[in-house]
Amino acid sequence: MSSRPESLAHVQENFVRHILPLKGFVLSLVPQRHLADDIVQETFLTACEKAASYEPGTNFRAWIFTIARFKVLAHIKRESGRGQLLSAEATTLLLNESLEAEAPDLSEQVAALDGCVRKLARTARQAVELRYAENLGPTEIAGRMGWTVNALNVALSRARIFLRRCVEESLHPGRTC
Amino acid sequence: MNPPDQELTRLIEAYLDDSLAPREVARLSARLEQDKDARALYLKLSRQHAALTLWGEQQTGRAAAQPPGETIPFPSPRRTARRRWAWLAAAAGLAVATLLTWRLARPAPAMMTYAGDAVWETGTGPRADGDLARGEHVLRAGVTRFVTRAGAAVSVAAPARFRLVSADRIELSEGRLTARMQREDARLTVVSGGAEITDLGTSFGVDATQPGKAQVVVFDGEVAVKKGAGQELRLTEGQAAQASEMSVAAAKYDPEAFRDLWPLTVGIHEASETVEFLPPGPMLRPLREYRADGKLFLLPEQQKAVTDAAYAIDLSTDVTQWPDSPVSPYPLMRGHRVSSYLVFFQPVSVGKGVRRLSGEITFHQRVLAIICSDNALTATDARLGLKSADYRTPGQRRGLEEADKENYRGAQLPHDSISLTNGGHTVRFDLFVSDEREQMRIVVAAP
Repeated sequence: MSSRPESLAHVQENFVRHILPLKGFVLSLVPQRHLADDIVQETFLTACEKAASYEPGTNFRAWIFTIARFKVLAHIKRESGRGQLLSAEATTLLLNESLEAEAPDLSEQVAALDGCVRKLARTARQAVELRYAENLGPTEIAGRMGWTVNALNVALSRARIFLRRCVEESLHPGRTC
Repeated sequence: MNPPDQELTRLIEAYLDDSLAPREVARLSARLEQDKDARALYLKLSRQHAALTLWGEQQTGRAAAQPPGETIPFPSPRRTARRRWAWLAAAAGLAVATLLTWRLARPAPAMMTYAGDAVWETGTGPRADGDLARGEHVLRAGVTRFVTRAGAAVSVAAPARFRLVSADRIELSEGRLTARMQREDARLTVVSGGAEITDLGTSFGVDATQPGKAQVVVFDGEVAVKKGAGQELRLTEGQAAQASEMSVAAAKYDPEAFRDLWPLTVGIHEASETVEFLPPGPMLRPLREYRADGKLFLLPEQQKAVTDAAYAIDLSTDVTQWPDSPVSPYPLMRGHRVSSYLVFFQPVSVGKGVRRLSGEITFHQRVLAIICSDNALTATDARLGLKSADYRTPGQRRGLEEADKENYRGAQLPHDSISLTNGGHTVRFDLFVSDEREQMRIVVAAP
């Protein structure tokens, strides 16, 4: 099915607006960054191929999230033999519940993280930056920081608990969990 | 609210950190399948993981110029996409900045592993960081090898023109390539001569030197060759097909066309001229027929075997000299994923006296072990040798000589020696050969 230029342009422009929540959605099910990138790109390419079938004015986000859902499941099934990703059944259940639940606004969370990460203790902040900015794994981070892997995992876990509370407080001041 | 299950939290966080063993991934999957509260916790932690990942990408801030030669994935014309992109960038919204950061930081589909004497047409070929971007590439001279993110090691010989469509798809319009899948789930489709050649595991070659045609040979494993909506032709080891404008049909298996790619295909970067490569794939002649007085032969054996027992070896990365080492190496233990190569000398005729054969072989992967004694060679034939090769040498020695022979057919025959250098990637050999066959098996780590 070929796409008319105007419908293609519409899809491309709207896709850019939804790229952050889309990638966040994919990352929550396929946590490896490079694999999530591939799936987002595949979603984009499929959306462009099917641009003629998208009806302007309808829920664009739901449309591309539906495409992404199929891409995620196809990826999980393709990679299932390696044993490094969740099962297709678990992923399907998570997909269903992920789309049902009201997901927090990701862009606000990302913006809030800036201030919250700065509030971490120095070593905790270093561990978080190495994990998420440098995209290093726990073993490598532990080696760089001179820690055991167990100690590093505990530090990251505590940092994440702090960051969740901090982001929640930033976005909803006064609300308790 | 119940306090979160600490063990479940640990499993989920380790999974999100990509550091959970397959056994535990299966355990986590089973828990998530059965427990709705576990899924809710997973979604909470994974959404945080997503937010932190996107935050981390912003910190990296790789807003470099578009790398040359990289194709923008938008299906619209490149110039129009650039103008639109520039307008969106000027709007400076968070989503746009994230798209740019994501797009520009996205890894290329392949990475160069051997450049050698390759000469590329200007504007094509690898980037400065060694990555090979999506798009068309033209190899003017030499040979090259790259590994795709989908797990295929691809070797290309010039002159060649190909398009790297994605990590698992290459369009070969001119030239020759071979591909070897490096892991169980690796995947690659090569489009050439109007046909699609899809790997079903593990190693094949495509020759597109004749316009509009493609010759496919399978060295190992199985491939599917399909033209349009037509029937699919399955080929296994030692089989070949030719695809043309009109059809796909079985053809004579002839690996000779890929001779200059054989070494790279099997993971060897460099070798001295004293070494002659035998083609990958099934043996076309019995082992005993490969004879020469002035060189060694290198036979690629297993490419992804897993050692099933502890094997005695003669040289390793810990004991890098043979035979002049005070200690023996530890055995090669079971569970190693390896490739193996038999390097051997077999004279054409006897009575030619003692000759010296020296040289080096450099492997892409690290050498784990070298086996050169009779018993150890025999013990590893079944697991690491080729099923189609007959290694039996009843009543005859086959290993290297570890001691001088003072009076060997009236002359002195010095002992052989081998060493491992270059971080375990280069095997240096200094062999003194005469009337008897000599063999060593080189065992290399397989990805």
